[in-house]
This record gives sequence, structure tokens and C-alpha cells, in this order.
Amino acid sequence: MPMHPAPDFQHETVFAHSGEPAYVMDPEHNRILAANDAGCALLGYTREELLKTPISRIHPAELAELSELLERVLKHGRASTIKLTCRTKRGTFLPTEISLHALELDGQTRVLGLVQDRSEHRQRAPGD
Amino acid sequence: MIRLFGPLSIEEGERSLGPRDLGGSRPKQVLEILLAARGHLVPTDRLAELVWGDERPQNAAGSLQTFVSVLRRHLATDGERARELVVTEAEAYRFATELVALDLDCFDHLLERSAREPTGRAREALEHALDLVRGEVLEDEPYTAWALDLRGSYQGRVLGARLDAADAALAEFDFAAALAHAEAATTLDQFSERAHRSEMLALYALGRTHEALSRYRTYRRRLDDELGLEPSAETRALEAAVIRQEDVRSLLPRPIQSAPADAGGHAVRFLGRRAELDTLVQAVQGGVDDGVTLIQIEGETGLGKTRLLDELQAQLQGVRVGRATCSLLERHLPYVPLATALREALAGVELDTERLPALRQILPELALGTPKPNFDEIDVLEALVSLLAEHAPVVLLLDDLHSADARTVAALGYLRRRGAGLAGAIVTSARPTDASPGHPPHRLEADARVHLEPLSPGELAPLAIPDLHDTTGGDPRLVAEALANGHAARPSQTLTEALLAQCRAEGDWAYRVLVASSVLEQPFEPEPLADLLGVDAAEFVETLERLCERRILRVDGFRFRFRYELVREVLLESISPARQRLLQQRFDQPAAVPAAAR
Repeated sequence: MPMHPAPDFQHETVFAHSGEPAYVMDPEHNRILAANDAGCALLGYTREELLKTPISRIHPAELAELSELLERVLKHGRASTIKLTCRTKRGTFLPTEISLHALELDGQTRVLGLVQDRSEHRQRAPGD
Repeated sequence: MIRLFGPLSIEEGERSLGPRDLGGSRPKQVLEILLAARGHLVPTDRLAELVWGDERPQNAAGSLQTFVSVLRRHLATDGERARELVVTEAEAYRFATELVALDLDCFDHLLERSAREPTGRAREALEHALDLVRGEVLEDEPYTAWALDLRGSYQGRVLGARLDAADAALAEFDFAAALAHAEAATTLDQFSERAHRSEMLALYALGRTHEALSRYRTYRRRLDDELGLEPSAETRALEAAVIRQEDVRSLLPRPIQSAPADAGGHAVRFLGRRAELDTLVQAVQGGVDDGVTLIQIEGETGLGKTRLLDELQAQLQGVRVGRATCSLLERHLPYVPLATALREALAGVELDTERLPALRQILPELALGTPKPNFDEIDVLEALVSLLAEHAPVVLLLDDLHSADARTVAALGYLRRRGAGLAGAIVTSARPTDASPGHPPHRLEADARVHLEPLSPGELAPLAIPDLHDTTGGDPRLVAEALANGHAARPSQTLTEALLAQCRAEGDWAYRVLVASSVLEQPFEPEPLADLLGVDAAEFVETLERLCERRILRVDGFRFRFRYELVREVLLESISPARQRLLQQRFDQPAAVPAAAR
């Protein structure tokens, strides 16, 4: 599997301050390990809430499709789709364009997810 | 087709089942849960949890077995088929979605395809996908959690498709369609910035500036009232541009032009014909899966046979495709169209003429420098079968088969009969009226036939051109002409010549009848015209009926009229004003005119 090298400090800064929603995921354990501010705002969760939320809750009716996408990422290093939706905390399903990239962090396989909300749905930022 | 958009519906041949035809609500729910899993296994524990929640009965597995049994009985009359569809696995069930067409799968496939296509084709894919949306997913299960999640996901997907379709329509300057998509999107999500921008832009492009600004103000007020937010910078900038009356073209999304699968770069987008295209794609797939199929597209000149082949060709992936157009000029040369298609399909393949020497008869370039081949025809055809088997799946597309030589037609028939285990398909197009029943293309047996008719008013509606159907009769060639000509009053010289040639091809007498008919007010009665031309009325009506079969005229009650007003205009223009006046005078005073000799 072609994998990107572990991000250094500079990459982490880019990740945290990017205006584009981004997430680091542990596909094996169905968990989001990190999310930037834009990522939290997109889904309407605080960071603390989001890191406790299983990925399957964001894609409740799309688990089979999500598994297939993750398999492609783990096989080819990257994959993207406009098919999947993301369920926000308020229950709205957003049409998205999702790009996934396989990463190796501390010897573990992780997936970086870059998500674009194709509807540009407006909602209050978490905590407002 | 199994439809989950709207209430559950199963259509197989002439059989149609609704949510109440599956033996009760529980068997129906089991089916819906299995369908929602999209071909994946659903463990019985999970199934029981979804069906009963916390109120699971003691023998849940037994009850599920009963539901599945009832479901199978109602699903298919053939028990074997029912067991193939609802598959029992170890402590799990599965619905074999690979054996049926599921509307959600079709929708997803089209949505994903749209992301890889240039604007025109992306829009077609999106609109085709949106045509499948008959309502919310699983409307007959309004409250269950598993249905809610699936429904929510597809609300999001449909919204995405609407937004992309609105953008694509804007890029293609089809503002009425863009507005319809954008309004549907704002209904689906009242807080979508993109939906509101597309709506404003479409209204502005349609010259409805006041409405564009009014909708912006309504949206801004709603955002403020309900979320305490203001529109995004991009939406505010659009409002400012509308107020400044900026050139709308500078605000529109740019079309994506380049794409590998562009079906020939047509100036006019593909309208209607979706059912026909689906039939072709499915029939070709059937041939690739189960052995060679022969599919015939039939339609008169200008009805879009070649365009349909273009669109089909653009959809064929993972198969070798070869295409040729048959020509009357080459009808005396055996195998020419077949050879052309084979060369394209097998480009880059080194052909083994040692093993298959009879191929030289079809592909004469293989025989260069050797004595003229003279193989038995059966050896040639068997060599062809072996060649296609080696490089399967191969799809051959032959346009204008009515002009093909007899050997090519015979080879196609042979491939169809001989190709049961051969993966591939042959798709031909032909004018049905150009060949007598004894002509070889007519004798070909087809596995599927697609008959093209003129486009309906609904299929032309996306072009939003008033009276387009009235003036063109839905004939795609005339529609393309109207669009290319900017809907000008006069057709182009090329089309004029083509239409006159088509009328002349009916013979001198028929052409004379057509010219005389073009002078008359439409529809016209046959008897006075027969008198004018000095022929027996019954015999004359036969001529008119033949011209109806040739789709130049059509019956209108007890009278006749030109099928396409444009054809009449072209004929009328082709004769001098003096002759027009003379014919008109004779028609007005038939008794005073001696019968002209035919």
C-alpha cells in the first residue's frame, strides 16, 4: 500500500489551521482521532464530542459503502467519492466530496479525510 | 427493477408488487432491511434487533425464518428464483442485489459517473439519476430508525445531485432548467448557500433581477432569524454583482470540456432516449455476460440512430469496441463494414494468420503478397468466431446496416447463432423502410430491438424553446437544425438539400404529389388533389398512405398533412412563385381545369 510519511510539526499546523474540514481516522476501531476546527464546525460537534463519536454514526446508512472506500484507500493509498453523505449532530445529511489518504502514524495505519460540503449548508458553529 | 425511492415497488416483467403485496408488514420490513444492506449479509441477530427493537420474541430466529419463507413465496412465483434472491447463509440472510436492478444502485452509479464526465454528460447523468427519484426513500416506513438513516443519506445525495445539475445547466446556459434544479435544492435544504446562489444566478440570467434580489433578501432574513448568521462572502458578492448589473456570463460556472468519454463532441446535448439507451446498455451487458446478443436500432433518417450509437459507445468500458458505417458505394464488396469494425476493435492485436488463415478473406491486408484467398465461407465464419473468442468481450457497432453487403449481414447472423459461449454483442442501426422484407438485414434475428420515434414535447422541454416541438415534430435532425440556426426562420442549405433529396428518393410521381401537397393548406383532402393531378382517388390515397409510412406525411382524421412543417416549407420554397400560384389556382377551380396526364 502506498502511504504518506508521518506528518511533521509543520503539517500538523497546516492541518489544525486549514479552513477545509479535515479528520484523522482509525478505520480499524471506527474512531476519529483528530479533527480541525473546520471539521468540527462542518459536523456541528465540539472537538471533545466528535472524538467520542464513532465514524459509523456520521455515516449510519453507508457502512458498506464506507468499508469499500476504506478498502480502496488501504489498497491504493488514496480514494475519493461524491457519493457519501455526512450526518451532522443536528441530524442533517450533507452531500459531500470526500478524499481519503492512507497515512502511517507511530507505526499505525491511519486515514486522513478531507471533506467538502457540496451544499455549503450553513449552521451555527459548535458551542454558539 | 426494485424501487426504494417512494414506496417500495418491485417490477419484474408484467408483474408488479407494492408494499402490501409481500405477505404482511414484517416480511416487507425484512425485505427492506436486506435491500438496504445492498447485497451484504445481515446477521439474524441484527435483523431481529431492527425488526423488533427491545421487544424481541422468544423464538426470533424461527419467526424470521417464517417471514423469509412468506417473503419468498410472494416475491417470485418460481421458488428457485426466490431462493436465489433471498439467500440463507449461516445465521444471516442476504438479498442478491446483483441479480436485480435496484434504483438506489442506479442512482449512485450515475452520481459517481457525473463526477468523471464533462459538463454536458455529467448533467445528463445527474438528470437521469434525478428521474429515478419518485419520492423519499422507503416512504412506506416513515418511522423506523433504519429507514430514517437510509432516507437521510439519500436526501443528502439527491441534494448534491440537484446542486450539481443546477451548476451544469447554468454552465450550458439552460437557465430555466438551472432554476428548476436550484429551487428543488432550496426546498431540500433551506440553509444551503450554494442552492440559493444558483437560484439567484438563474433568475438573474433569465432577466428576473428583481426576483433574484428578493430571494436573496428572504434567505438573508431566514439565516438571521433562525441561525443568527449572515450569508457567506461569496453569496453577498453575487448580490452585489446583480445590483451592479454585471454581465451574467462572467458570473456563470465554466463548463468542463475535456473528458475521455466525450461522445463525439456533439453541439446538441443528448435529449430523451434514456429508456432506449438503458435497453441497449443492458442488452450489451447481457451479451457480455451470457453470450453474443444482436441488438437492432431501427428508425427513419434523422431520428438519432447514429447519435444513440455514439452515446452507447461512450458508455462501453472494459470491452473492445469496433465501429463501422455501411455504405451503398461498398455494398458490392464483401465484408467491408465488418472488417472496418474488426480493425478498430482489435487495434494493436497481432493476428495469427497461421492458425486462422481464413481470416484473410475478411481482412484482405493479411493476404498481401499471397495468392488470392479462396476459403469456404464456413471456414471464414469459424475463424471469425475463434478470433472474437480469443479477444472477448468484443462489441461491434454497425451503422446503416440497410446498406451492408450480404456477407457482412450473414456473418452477423452466424455470430449470433454460434456465439452462445462468446462474450460480446453486435449493435446495428438501420432504416426499416429502406429494405424490403427479403433484404438480408430484415432477415436477421435480433435479441433486442429499439425502435426510435420522434422526441416528445416533454423530452424537448429542457431546451425551453417555445413551439420547438410544433415546428420540428420532435425530429432530432430538425431540432438540431433549429438550435444550430438559432431557431432561424429558414433552414440551412445543407438541411434543405437533404430534405429535398429524401423527398425525391420516393420517386418522380411521389415527389410531384408532395410538391403539389405543399401548396395546399394543411391538412388537405385527397380527392380534390387527385382530381387536380388527374388520377383515381383510391389509387392516389395509396400513394399518400405510402408517404405516411415513409414518415413524410401523416394522417389527420380523414385528411393528410406533412409530418414536419419544415419539410413542407422546403418543398414550397423549391418551386417558383409562378408555379405555386398556378397550382393554387388549379386547386381552387378544379372543375375548370382539364385533368392532367399522370
